[in-house]
Amino acid sequence: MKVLIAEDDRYTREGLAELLESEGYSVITACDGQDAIDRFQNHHPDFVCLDIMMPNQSGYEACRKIRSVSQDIPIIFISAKSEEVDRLVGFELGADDFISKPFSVREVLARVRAVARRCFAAHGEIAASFDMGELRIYPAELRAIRGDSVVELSPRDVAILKLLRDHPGVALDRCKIFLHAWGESYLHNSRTLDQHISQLRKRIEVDPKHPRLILTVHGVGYRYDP
Amino acid sequence: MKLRPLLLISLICLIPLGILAWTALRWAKSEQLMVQQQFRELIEARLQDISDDVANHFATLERQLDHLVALDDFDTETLRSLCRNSPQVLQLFVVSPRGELAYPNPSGELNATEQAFLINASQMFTGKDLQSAVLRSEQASANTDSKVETGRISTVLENDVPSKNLTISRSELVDQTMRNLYQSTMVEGLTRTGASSGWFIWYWDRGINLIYWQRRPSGHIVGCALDRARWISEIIAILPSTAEPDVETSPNRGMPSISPKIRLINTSGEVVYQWGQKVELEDGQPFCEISLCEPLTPWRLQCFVSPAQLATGTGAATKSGAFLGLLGLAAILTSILILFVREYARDMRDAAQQVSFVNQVSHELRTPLTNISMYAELLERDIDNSAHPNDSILRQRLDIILNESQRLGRLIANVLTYARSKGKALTLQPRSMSPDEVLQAVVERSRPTFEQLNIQIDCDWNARETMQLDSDVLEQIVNNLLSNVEKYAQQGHFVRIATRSDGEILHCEVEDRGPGVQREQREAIFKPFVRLSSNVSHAAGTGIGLTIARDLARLHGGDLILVDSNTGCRFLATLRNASSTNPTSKSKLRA
Repeated sequence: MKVLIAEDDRYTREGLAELLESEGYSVITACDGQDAIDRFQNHHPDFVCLDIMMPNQSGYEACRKIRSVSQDIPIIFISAKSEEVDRLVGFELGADDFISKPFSVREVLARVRAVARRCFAAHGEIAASFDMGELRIYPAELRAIRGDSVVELSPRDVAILKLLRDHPGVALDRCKIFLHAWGESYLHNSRTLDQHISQLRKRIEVDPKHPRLILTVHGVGYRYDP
Repeated sequence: MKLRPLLLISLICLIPLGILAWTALRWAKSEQLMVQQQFRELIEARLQDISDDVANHFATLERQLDHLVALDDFDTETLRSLCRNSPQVLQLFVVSPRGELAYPNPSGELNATEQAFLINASQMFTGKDLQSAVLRSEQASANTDSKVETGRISTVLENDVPSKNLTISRSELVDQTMRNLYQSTMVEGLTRTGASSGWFIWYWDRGINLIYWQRRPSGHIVGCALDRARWISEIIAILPSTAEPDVETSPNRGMPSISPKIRLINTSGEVVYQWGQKVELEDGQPFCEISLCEPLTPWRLQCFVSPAQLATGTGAATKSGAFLGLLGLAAILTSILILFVREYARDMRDAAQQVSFVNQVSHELRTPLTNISMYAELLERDIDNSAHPNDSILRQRLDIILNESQRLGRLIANVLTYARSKGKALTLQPRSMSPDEVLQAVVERSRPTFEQLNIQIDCDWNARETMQLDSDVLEQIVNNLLSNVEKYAQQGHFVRIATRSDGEILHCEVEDRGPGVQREQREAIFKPFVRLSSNVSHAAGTGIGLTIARDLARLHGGDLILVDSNTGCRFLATLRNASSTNPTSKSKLRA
């Protein structure tokens, strides 16, 4: 999923980009409103995060122009302007959500995921679900369901699970998984993948200490046994 | 400026102005009536003066006539001579004590004047009117010393006798009169003897005639009929001339200057004489009138004033005064309104600038704060993914960064809320939520800090039911209370948070075991920027936390109070369910 982040503050922009990339999103950044419009037209992102107070063109203006081109694309305002009127203007222009600064990274991820799921579900872009044991995964909704419980997933989680499910009983080495889920062939730090798998197990396994869905293959990588 | 406050301010000015205008108009009307009444009394006094002048004239005339009719010798020639020598007298007459007309004697030789008199005044003698009047006058005189007969005005019309007489010749008239009226009439005797006198009026020859009589000691009534033209001209000579200045009231009495018309009206309503300004009369009704003095009481003095002149003369000053007063008052109220609106607009502008400034500053602070907290969280993730995920020193320092950034976030939120409250820009955004769930999240966020300070957190959650509350308001209130515990009561090492709800009001208590607040300072702590200690070593803060918490609680229909506690402070925050419609429950909150 390609996300456009428009933010004039460099560190916020880079931080958000890193955060979303770590969750498996493909990120495009823009440093002002006009840049955001240009990049939107050139790269056709699936998702837009806009700051409001930006040079050249404000986030409101960028939102209005993006909406004039695409009525469906999810747009979230991420701004320090948190007055009620600011929110109302944003929603009037067609924003799907409004995140006030300062925010927690978990809040941003949860809201991005929720808006994306809501928009894609409403537009009928529901990919086929698949099962892994008792877990049914809905890739387009970025979530999985076991019984009555719902598990929130990132695009990267879905990519890893889909790769494992497509290769049942095969031990997949770390580099292959990393290439598939991170889009990079070079594994900078082996703990990055292991830590991610560990966090994923905590959410999808019934007993994370005794995993049944993602099994460790020592010295190689991971395996899924149906 | 918004329409509603402008409308209210306008009403505040217009309503008293309207009441004042109504009152002033009523006052002006009553004042006009009062001035008119005073003017009427003044005119009546003037008319009475004229009547008194006429009365004085008749008094003088009476004295002359008393001397004239003081006769005891009733020789015809003597009487005729006396008549000729008295120009004001039309005819003398003598009535014997037995009621018979002794002079002019109807059976004797009469000259033309005597004949005419007898014809005109026939009924006065034959109908016993004169005798009756004399008797009544004497009886009244015996009681009240009244000299003039005023009780009866003859109903004989002025034209009666002449109209009858038009159908017969003068000789026939004389004969008829002598035969039918005087010679055959039985006149009751006038038994009373002694001196008395008086006026008698009788109508003939198209008008009133004045007769003065006097009873002589012999019992005879000697009287004279006055020459009407002469006495009328004498009266007119007494009345003010047309050249005389009009009625003008004295300035020191504050009366208006009005030029009336005054008329002397006879019994038939005909104008005998008039003077004054020409007045256009609409309905012919006089402004005021009085009866003339005796013996001319049937005559009236009437005063006419033009309605337009009366309205102008007696009300213009009052109305113009009231109008000017109202105009002045309206000008003052308008000036006050303009000043108020300007001040209000300036306050609103200042407040808006203040809020805008705070918003700007807040925005400028929030951006770096966002970066600090975001990168701290990213760093936390990096540590999780690093080769040393359990590095306690790194985690401790990271926690400090995260906690301090959260604290800075709360401070910024407080300053912004305070600025908004001063600018009256605070509004509620209630939504359906469980108070306990919101407050548990607040406590969990504060837990690391409290654990670091070795403060035990005791919770008693009893408000799980869904209520319509503004979660941001609830969070900010409890955050501020917990922040106070952190800053001022950490030595108590204890905090207790308890909630309960009756579905309409949420009660939330935050209790600590710190030094507490003295009773006399319990209200002071809610004032902005008030510190109970000037000790610089005390924990830093903005000094507006409790002020904001109380403002927010009150905005939510509740309150924040410091209740009695054995140790430390015990704050009770109450918030009303936004969907509550029971107005009586408001008092419960304050109790």
